[in-house]
Amino acid sequence: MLNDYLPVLVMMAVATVIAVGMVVGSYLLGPKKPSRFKQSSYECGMTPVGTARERFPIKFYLIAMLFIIFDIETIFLYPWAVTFAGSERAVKLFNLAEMAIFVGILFVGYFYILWKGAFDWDEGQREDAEQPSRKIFEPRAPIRFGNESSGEVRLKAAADVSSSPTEESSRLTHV
Amino acid sequence: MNTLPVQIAFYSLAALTLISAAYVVRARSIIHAGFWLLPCFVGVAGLFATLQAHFFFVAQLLIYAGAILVLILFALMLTRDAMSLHVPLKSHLGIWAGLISAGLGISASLVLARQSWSVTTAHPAGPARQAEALGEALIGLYAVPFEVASLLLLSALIGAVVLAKVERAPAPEPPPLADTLPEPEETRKEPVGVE
Amino acid sequence: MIIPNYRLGPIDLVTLLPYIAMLCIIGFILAIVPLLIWIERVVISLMQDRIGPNRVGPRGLLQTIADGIKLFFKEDIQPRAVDVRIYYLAPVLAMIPALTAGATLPFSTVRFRMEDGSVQTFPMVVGNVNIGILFILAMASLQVYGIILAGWSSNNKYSLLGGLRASAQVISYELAMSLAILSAVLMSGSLNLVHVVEAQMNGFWNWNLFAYPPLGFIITVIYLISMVAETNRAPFDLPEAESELIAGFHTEYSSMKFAMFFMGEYASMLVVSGVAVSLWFGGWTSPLPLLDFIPGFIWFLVKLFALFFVYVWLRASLPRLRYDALMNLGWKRMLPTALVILFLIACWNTLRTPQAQDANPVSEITMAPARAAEGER
Repeated sequence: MLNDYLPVLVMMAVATVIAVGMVVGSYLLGPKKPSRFKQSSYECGMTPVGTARERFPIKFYLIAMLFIIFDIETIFLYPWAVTFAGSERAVKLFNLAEMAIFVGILFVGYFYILWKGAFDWDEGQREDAEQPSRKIFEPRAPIRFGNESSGEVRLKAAADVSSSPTEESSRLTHV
Repeated sequence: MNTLPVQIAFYSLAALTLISAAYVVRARSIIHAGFWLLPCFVGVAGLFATLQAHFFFVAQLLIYAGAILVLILFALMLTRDAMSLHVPLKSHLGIWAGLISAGLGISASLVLARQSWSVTTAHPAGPARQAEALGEALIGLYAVPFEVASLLLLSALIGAVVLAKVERAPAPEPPPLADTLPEPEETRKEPVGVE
Repeated sequence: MIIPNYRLGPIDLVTLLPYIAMLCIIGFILAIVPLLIWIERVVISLMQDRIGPNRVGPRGLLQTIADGIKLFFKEDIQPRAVDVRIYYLAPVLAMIPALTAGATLPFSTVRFRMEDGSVQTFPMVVGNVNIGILFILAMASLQVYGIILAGWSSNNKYSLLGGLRASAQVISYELAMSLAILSAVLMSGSLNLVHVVEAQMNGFWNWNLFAYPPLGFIITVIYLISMVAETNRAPFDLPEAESELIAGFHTEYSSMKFAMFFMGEYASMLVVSGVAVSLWFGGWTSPLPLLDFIPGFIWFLVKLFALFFVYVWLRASLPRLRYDALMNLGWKRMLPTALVILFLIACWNTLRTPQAQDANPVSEITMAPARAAEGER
């Protein structure tokens, strides 16, 4: 039986040799001309700011946690599926009911975390949150800082627009 | 069974597991300790393979090496300062720890040595039908523990979410835009087209 | 084509077959990656109405080989901030699972004339093991470490963020992927890919793609989507989004170490495509019985390249997803859909099974392990 695995083991060894050989080969073959700026961390040509050893959002941790739980569930399903395919009808009904209970209990948890919003990656972009308009172009008031030279002309234009009162124009008139 | 290649495989895998486990304890950076768990888990998986428990070999790789270690690494990276700090491995409890582990080791090996182990030559299920036999056992003989396991997973699921404190907090107010200068009270509206 | 089983002392060709298959797979992956990159560049350039590579060799065919040789002789820059040992270990760990995962993937059959004159058919596979498909899944899950290690050891903000994003993405889509594989296992009743392929022989209508219509088709699409996401390819290539993360986890890698991540990515693309071919598109078998005279590995290659073309097609057509949309798709759409379809297939399968006489489910099941042990002895 172990003979079936021997080629796999050999393949793993060959893969390791190839991978290590590539790293060592490029290490030996390439030139070595280190310099201070070449060896600094790459931040788009700027001097690196701060450290990269930052902590990161807890979301990633939660995803890994949920992954473990569903992974265990899936690994339980594999022997079940193999057994299922080879059994008789009455046995299959029994198997099906049993696995339905197993997965059903887990799906209570799934809907709970769905309801808690664990899968909503960004709070502002939740699915039921009010979506921003899908319109590609929305007429907007020009950004102005109060020091434009031709203020009079714009005010006049704004007054024209305000004859058809919209949200945008009403804001514009008071600038 | 007890052929030479199997023995060689067993001892080298055991050495891999133990040495990397020692490095997990010895590593100065906690992240390195986490990384050392990978050869440790893979070694244990290999031990399952030498025992001809092929399903457990893969399950160990998938669950421990593939999932739990990712979680451990993520958890380590979440820890404050663990990413950069190299903690000095000095502890005033070293003597006590050594004594306790030596005592535990001696008593465990005494128990193991005095136990008369019954050796079985029969395979519960041949490798060809291992997954099938496991599935049959799960839905037949061990149906109730199997369903209880799903309850355990459910509580883990809920616990994970509660611990990670995901709350349906409303989205924070967007910062005011440059073009929303102070306006008279009666016409002030929510800014449109955020960003 | 029937090959005589040559024998040299205690070793004959049948014993050597797994090792020949191993050389075929590793050699194929190492040799085909430059060709794949060339195909990708040419196809994308055609789709985007530009010329594409055309300098080195005919139609730029030798361009990627030249690039590879060049990368070997480039300086091996080792940034000061990196964690040296892990920095060098990461590309190795990215390559090993990618090259090994193909071990349980059957890609052809060979017919041997044995000593006693009988003709026997053997599958071309490195490890003809009973948990074949799970082994591939396990290797795919180990690929995450190359990414995490590279992202962390580079000590670069972009790398860390890219590595985290990539690992979260890979583990998220692994669930949908393994549930999709599970339904193929349910259809064929075996974890061994050789058996899964043999169950789909004699014509394309027997493929799992067309089994339980339309469930087989939907689950195939789910597998294909998660396969693209699992290998971090467009449109799911945000971990290496060049415009925001400057290549993500391999920002700090240069020369051959960079190329190794690249090769690992293409190798795992080949492996997951090969799994898709075996699970849903009939593996090495021919789509029509009258085309059986064409050797199996040619059919396998044709199907493999067709799937690779789909990869390139997607890359040329679709814009990159936003990260929250990616997570939504994986956890809220694909995971429940795959599970529901799995149960629908199980129900359908139950209905199709003929009723057995005087079946008593409980005693049948509780007796099963004992009977298995009996059969083993």
